[in-house]
This record gives sequence, structure tokens and C-alpha cells, in this order.
Amino acid sequence: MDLWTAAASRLSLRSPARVAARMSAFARAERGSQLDMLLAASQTQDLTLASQFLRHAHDESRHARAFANRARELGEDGWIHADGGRLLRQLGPAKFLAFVHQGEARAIQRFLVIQDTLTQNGDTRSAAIFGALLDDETRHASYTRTALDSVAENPAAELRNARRWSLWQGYRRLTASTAKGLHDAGAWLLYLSLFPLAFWLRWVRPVRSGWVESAPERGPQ
Amino acid sequence: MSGGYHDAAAALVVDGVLVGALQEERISRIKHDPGLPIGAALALLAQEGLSPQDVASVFFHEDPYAHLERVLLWSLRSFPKGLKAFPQAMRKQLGSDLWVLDSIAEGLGIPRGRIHKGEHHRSHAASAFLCSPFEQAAILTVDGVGEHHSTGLWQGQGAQISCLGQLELPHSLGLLWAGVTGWMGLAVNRGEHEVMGLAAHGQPRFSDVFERWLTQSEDGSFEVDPAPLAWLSDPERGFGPAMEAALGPARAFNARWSLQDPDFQLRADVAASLQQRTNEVLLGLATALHERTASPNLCVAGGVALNCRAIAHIQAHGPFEQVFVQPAAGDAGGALGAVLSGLGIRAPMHHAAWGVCCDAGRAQDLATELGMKVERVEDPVQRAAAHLAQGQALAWVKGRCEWGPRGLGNRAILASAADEALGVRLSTQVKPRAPFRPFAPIVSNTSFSEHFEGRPDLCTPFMTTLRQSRNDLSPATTHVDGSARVQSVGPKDALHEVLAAFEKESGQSVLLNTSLNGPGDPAVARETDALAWLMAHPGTPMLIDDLWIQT
Repeated sequence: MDLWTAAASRLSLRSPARVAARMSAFARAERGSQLDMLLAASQTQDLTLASQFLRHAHDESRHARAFANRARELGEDGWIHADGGRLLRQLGPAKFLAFVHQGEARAIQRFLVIQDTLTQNGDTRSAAIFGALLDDETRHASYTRTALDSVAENPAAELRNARRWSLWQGYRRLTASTAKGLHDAGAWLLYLSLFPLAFWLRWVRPVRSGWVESAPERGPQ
Repeated sequence: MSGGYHDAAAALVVDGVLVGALQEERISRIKHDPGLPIGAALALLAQEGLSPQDVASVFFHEDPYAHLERVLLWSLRSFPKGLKAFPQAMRKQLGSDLWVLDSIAEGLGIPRGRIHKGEHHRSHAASAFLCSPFEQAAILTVDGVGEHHSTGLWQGQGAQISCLGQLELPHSLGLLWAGVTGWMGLAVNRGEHEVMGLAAHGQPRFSDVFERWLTQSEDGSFEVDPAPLAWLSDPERGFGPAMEAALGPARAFNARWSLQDPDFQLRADVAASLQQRTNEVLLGLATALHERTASPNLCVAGGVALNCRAIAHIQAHGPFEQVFVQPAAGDAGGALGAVLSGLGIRAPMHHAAWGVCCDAGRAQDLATELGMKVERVEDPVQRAAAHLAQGQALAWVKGRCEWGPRGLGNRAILASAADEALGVRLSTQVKPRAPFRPFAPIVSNTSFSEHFEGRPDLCTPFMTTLRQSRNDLSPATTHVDGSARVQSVGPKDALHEVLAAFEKESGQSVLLNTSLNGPGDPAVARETDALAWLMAHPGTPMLIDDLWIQT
């Protein structure tokens, strides 16, 4: 895992443009995680957990800004847009905590490798960002593990379930990406093959200017 | 419900009475959430003690099949320019939009037969008229695009709405604004209000360009030259090389603004030119509509209706005696229009507090758990006024969150409007934003005319129009051209007492009022959002009902 991560890290950080793109990707991931934690805080009745989720969301927000600012310095646009999910409601408390714990633990390993690679590449400014976030990631991994132990009857089983769920999500992303490629290729072919229809349409459905006939009255259908 | 493009929203009617309206972004925390408003619908139902199984009918704001037809039609009409965007457009259509009615049924867990489709511009028209105080009115709908149309003239009588005529794509004011927004380096469908704010800094020296691109006939209909736009070939940017050839190179996307930038004046002049042409064309539309209806009342809806400069222009120069624009005039408002027109009912809107509540009890427990300083205050109004009079900012949370994009007194950052330095601190530290964007003032009905031209009207409670300032007592909320997007409040509004107490303490009767959110975030809705905001802004205290919270 470490060797693979290190090799992938070296490959993906070999130029400032790639570092910038990676920083943008991390900014989006942190922003997505912030949204997950904010929604989790609003969905749990446990005050201690809700406050921990809120602190976690606050950290992720800072991380997203730090990554976005660095990406901007390196030439990216710094725009952060990410989706969040109602993961707590979807997974239930134990599996959600296991999932977050694993993500944070993985992030620590990954951040260490990236920090090392960036330092070797002489990009100490970017490396310092990862170094500064490690304490937060360690704290996140720690509280989620403690909380998991308190809410789950069998924490180890929950961790296994969460890992399986993560793998399933990764598989779905991969297949969705493949399907997107196939769809787009098919759509392009379809579009190009429809060119006679395009000329016919210009004749039968020309662009209309001015007020068009009012639509007939109709209720909801 | 409305959704699938941007600003998804839900509105709830129970036994013929409107009881709630909420944008999905307030629940999902994704600004301008383009998904489906399932979270908003569930939150509104829960607030009324209802479950989805209690829902008799859901009315969706547009017709997904007509939408698909338009996408196919224009993709082919624009052959071969649509090649790049066609796969993405079809992915969205076939992957989600076409099945939106089924997705709503699935999301709520109710039979598909209870979901009904509507028409985009009819929903807009209904959202404008059926929420207005008028029994009879002319209705103007103007936005980017509905199923096939961009603009509509309508007439409302009782609970009935009839269409007088519509304009089809590509003749769309909204798409022209989207293109210029993209050229400004702002996000299309999100940054249009920034272009409007920028316009006050410029001179309309590109008016000839916009007169060429946007021509209007005597009957009010207009045509938009599609050459500078790229809504089909590059919808994320919205503009093409012809726009850059006419106006200059586009700004880098999401680049930071500075009033000292060498090209700042160019951007401001372009914005001013577009705004001026928009004012002229909307006035032409309003005049034509008046000639056809002879009504003294006008209701306006659609994304372009959120352009308060143009609305103020119609009010000042148009033939109508009264103009009404409800607070969520953009696509979110389609949800409200869909349900009101679907049921054939009216719901005159007197306030904007239609969203979810903030639970002060849970906020207290959670804030204590977070180690914040929490205090129950006996007289929250007096405490707020005293704090504001000391030249400090305050986060204010009361009752239900607002409907629409503006903070209208229930989720607000408040400060003295007289303190220009505090305004600058807010715009750089508390709520970072482009330096040309003004904050808005809030004033009681009784003090309105002392500070602003004219009198409070149907738009001022919802901040959907502008007024010129009469004096220089509110520099923190007066735009560079002397205008202000003022909110007027009456005795029933939450902030009325605060304004009165603030005046007693400080001798000033105008407050700065901006929505309670961080940069890029939707406005605060519930207690967890409020406390998250407080954690990110530790220097500003928050008042939730009678709960004074500081970090």
C-alpha cells in the first residue's frame, strides 16, 4: 500500500500544474466531507456526537479553504463545489462512524506520503499544508473510533462492513465512469448520424421570433 | 416542487392554506442545490407533523418531456456546434431529468400517480400573481429558459391565469445575462446578482453593443443575437468568441476582484451597459403588457425578476400603479407557483418566514456541549440594540428561515448602517465578498421616507426593488450610485422592535442587514447551521430567540 501510494503520489505531483489539480481535488473532497458532517450533526440526537461532527465539519471547512487557496496560488481557479450526502441516515450511526474513521485513517497515511513527496520535490509550501492538517486528521480518526466503540456492538464487524461499502462505492464510481465514456461515445455517434434531421428541422421547426400563440389552458397533468 | 436545474425548492399547502416554502439548499447546505427538493419537502412535512403518506398531490413546476424535446430540438438546430455539449445534455436528460416525476415519487415513497407536471412559465406566473395582494393583475415572466420559452405575458384574475403570449428561445434575457456573467469570470446562474451590483460602478459606454445584441419591437417582443452566446456549445461559460471580440477578453474564472484592477472599469462599464439595456427592454415589455391588459397592477417573476435595478426602473417609469415581486422570484419560486396553480388557490404573501425553525433549546444544549458561552437574556431586543449601538455586529436568528435568496430579518447579520468601517470589516472578514457589492439597509416603515426616496411598497418588505438614499447617514449600505436595496419592516416584523430600540440607544434608525451565511454557503436554517456559522466567525455573537451565544 505504502509503495503503491508513494509511486502514485510521485506520479501525480510531478509538476506544479498537477499539484494544483491535486489541491483542487482535495479541496472538493474536504468540502464534501464538511457537508457530510454538517448533515450528520443535524441528524443525530446525541449531543456529544453532534458537537463532534460540528467541530469536524469546521476543520474540513478550513482544510478545503487551505487547499483551494494553494490551488489558486498554483494557477487553478480555486472554485470549490462539492456534493454532500445524508450518509448518517443512509448508513446508520455505527456504519457511518466506521466509514468516517477509515477515511480519516487512510487520509493520514496518504497525507504523510504526499507531504514527503512534496518536500522531496522542493514544494515546501504545499507540503506544510498537509503537515498542518495531520493533527486534525489524527483527532478525527481517534474520536470516530472511540464513538464507534461506544455505539457498535461489534466494532470490528462494522469496520469490515464499512470497508465493503467503500469498495462497493468505488466499484460504482468506476462503472459509472466507464458507462459515461461509453454513453458519450454513443451520443457523439448518434449526434453526427442525425445531421440530415438537423437540416430537416431547420425547415419544419424554424426559430420563431415575436409573440407566439398562447398555450391552451390546461391544468396539471 | 421545483428542481433539476438550480435552486430546487418545495412548498407545502395543507387544507388549502400555504404553510411552508423552503429551498433545498437550506437543508442540503449546497448553495443553489440543483437536485430534487426531497429534503426540503420532508422538513416542511415534519414541521407540520405530517409524513409523505399524507401528501395527496405533488405538483412539479415544469414538463420534463417538453424539456427533453427542447434539448433535442436545439441540439439539432445548432448542428454541428452542439457536438461538445450533446453527450452531457443527454446524460442529464436520460439519466435524471426525464424520470424526475418517478424520482420524486420514489424519494417521498408515494405512488407515482400523485405526481403531476406543470409548465415552467405558468408556474412562474402563478408564483407571482397568486401570492400577490391583487385580485386582478398583469403578469410578466422573464428568465433564462423554461421548456421552450424565455418570456411570457400573462393576465391573472381571481385564481385564474391566462397566457397572452410567449417568446421562444433563443430570445432570452436570462441567457444574455448568463453569457455576460460567464465573461465576467463568474459562475453562470449564480453570479448574475454580482453583475447587477457591478453595474453601479460603470458607465454604459457599450450600450450600442447591447442595443445590437438585444433589439425590441413596438409590441414589446425582443430578439437576442445568438452569436455572442454559447449556451448550447459551452453552457458552463455561456459566451463565445464574438462576445470577447466585442467586449474584450473574458476575465479568468473565479479570479479575485479588486477595485484597483486595470480592467475593473471595463467590466463595470459592460455591466452598466447590460443593465441599462435590460431596464429599457423590461420597461418595453411592461408597457406592452399594460396596453394589452389595462391593469393597474403588475406581478413579475422568473430569474430576471430578481434584478431589483430593473424592477425599480419599471416602478419609476412604467405605467403600473403597483408592482409586486415575491422574494423567491427565480426558479425556486416555481415550486410555490406549481402548487398554487395546481390547486387553484391564492395565498397572498405578507412575510417571507416560510422555512424551517431553529430549535433554541437544542441550540443551547449543543452550544454548551461545544464549550460556547451561552446566556439566556431577559430582554433580547434591548440587548441586541445595545450591542449594535456599540458599533458591533450581531448574528440574529429568529423564527423560521426566509423563503428566497435574501436575509429578510429572520437569519441576518446586523450592524449599524452608519458605520462605514464596520461595513468594510464585514465584507472583508465576516462575510468576504467582491469589494463592489453593497450591503442592504433595513428600516421601519415609519422612518423609511426620512432616509429613502418614495414610500414603502409591496416590494420593499422583500428587498426586490431599489431606492435612492436621501442622505449620507447610512454609508455602509449605500451603493456607489446612491442606491440601496432597502428592506422596510412593519410592526409585525421581528426586527421592528430592534430597530426602535436601536434608534433610542444610538439616534440612528437604519441597520445593515445581510443574510446569515459564510462565503459560498447557503443562509443558515437550523440550529446546527447557526452554530457552525458561529464557529467560523468567533468574533461575532449570536442571538437565537433569547439565547445569547458567544464562542
